[in-house]
Amino acid sequence: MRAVALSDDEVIRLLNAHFVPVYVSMEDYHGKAARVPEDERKAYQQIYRSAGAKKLSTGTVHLYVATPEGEAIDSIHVAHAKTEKVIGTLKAAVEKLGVPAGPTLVEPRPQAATPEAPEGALVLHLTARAVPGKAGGFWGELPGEDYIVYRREDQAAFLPPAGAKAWEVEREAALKLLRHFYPSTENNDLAKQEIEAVSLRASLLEDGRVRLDAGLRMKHPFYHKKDDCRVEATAVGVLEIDAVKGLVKDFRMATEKAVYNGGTFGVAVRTVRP
Amino acid sequence: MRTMLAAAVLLASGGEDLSWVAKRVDEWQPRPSERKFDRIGWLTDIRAGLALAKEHGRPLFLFTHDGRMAIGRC
Repeated sequence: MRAVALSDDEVIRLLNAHFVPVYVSMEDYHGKAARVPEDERKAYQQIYRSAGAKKLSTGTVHLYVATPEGEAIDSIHVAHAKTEKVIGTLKAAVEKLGVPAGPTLVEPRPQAATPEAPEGALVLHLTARAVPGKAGGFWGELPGEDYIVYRREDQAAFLPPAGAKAWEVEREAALKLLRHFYPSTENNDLAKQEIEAVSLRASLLEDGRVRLDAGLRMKHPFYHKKDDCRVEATAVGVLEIDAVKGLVKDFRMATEKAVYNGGTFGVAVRTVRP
Repeated sequence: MRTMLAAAVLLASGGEDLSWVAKRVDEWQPRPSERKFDRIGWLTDIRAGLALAKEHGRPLFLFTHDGRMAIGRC
């Protein structure tokens, strides 16, 4: 959806000029991770139920067009939301409601915003994408991104212990990063992963930088149910450190080789705010 | 000069050229064509969306999904 219809110039123009665009994750509205307040959940339910009452399609992965009063006037299941259909639906709503073109009401901004972090924190940005190799096995149209934050005190795991030239990064610190080494799938629940093997070896280079060698074998279900889909990856990292302050100044890591469910993918990690 | 620099880098990294790591990290960053979604003036709260819709007499476009759309994890 995001990769096709919502990246189309005409869809973008129509949404900005005639609509108030909203996107929400249903994980915030239902289930154990629900976190929106009751009146927000009711606002969603009103649109959902009014669509059902009008025999429009409904579901959790959906597009709805609603009046300002929250009455659905059209809907499309994401699986059927081809660009032409979305454009047709938007234009029909504009015509039906007589909505003139106007300015974009909310300033567009990067949606994958860097998270807030305490002073001294190491904030890493991770990109997981399809790369040349064997295709398939995951959603490859767009990269998946994550932010990983190591507090000041957590960064000691990447610094050499006194007198050491090589050491193993503690498992918890390693997994905080390596659990995000998976391509775009329907499931993004890290708690559903099974770590089968993990290692993150560090060594001090002669120029004072730190080299990391990562190895990972991890089950990561494609959907929210158990399956045999697994990640197998090796990666190399190069870190610039401030041994006196006990901080990582720069962190770059890339996979040498990574496969998931038969497809080849790559992961790149970089510092966004030291 | 370039050869000397490369040799110095190799020596410092224990004999292996690690410049491929930074190069790969740069190459694999999200591209502008993959961030066109960001050109839309999104809200992420239905109540705020309905309030703005009423204020400006516009319809609401609601996209519901699983996962985290903003970071492509969905």
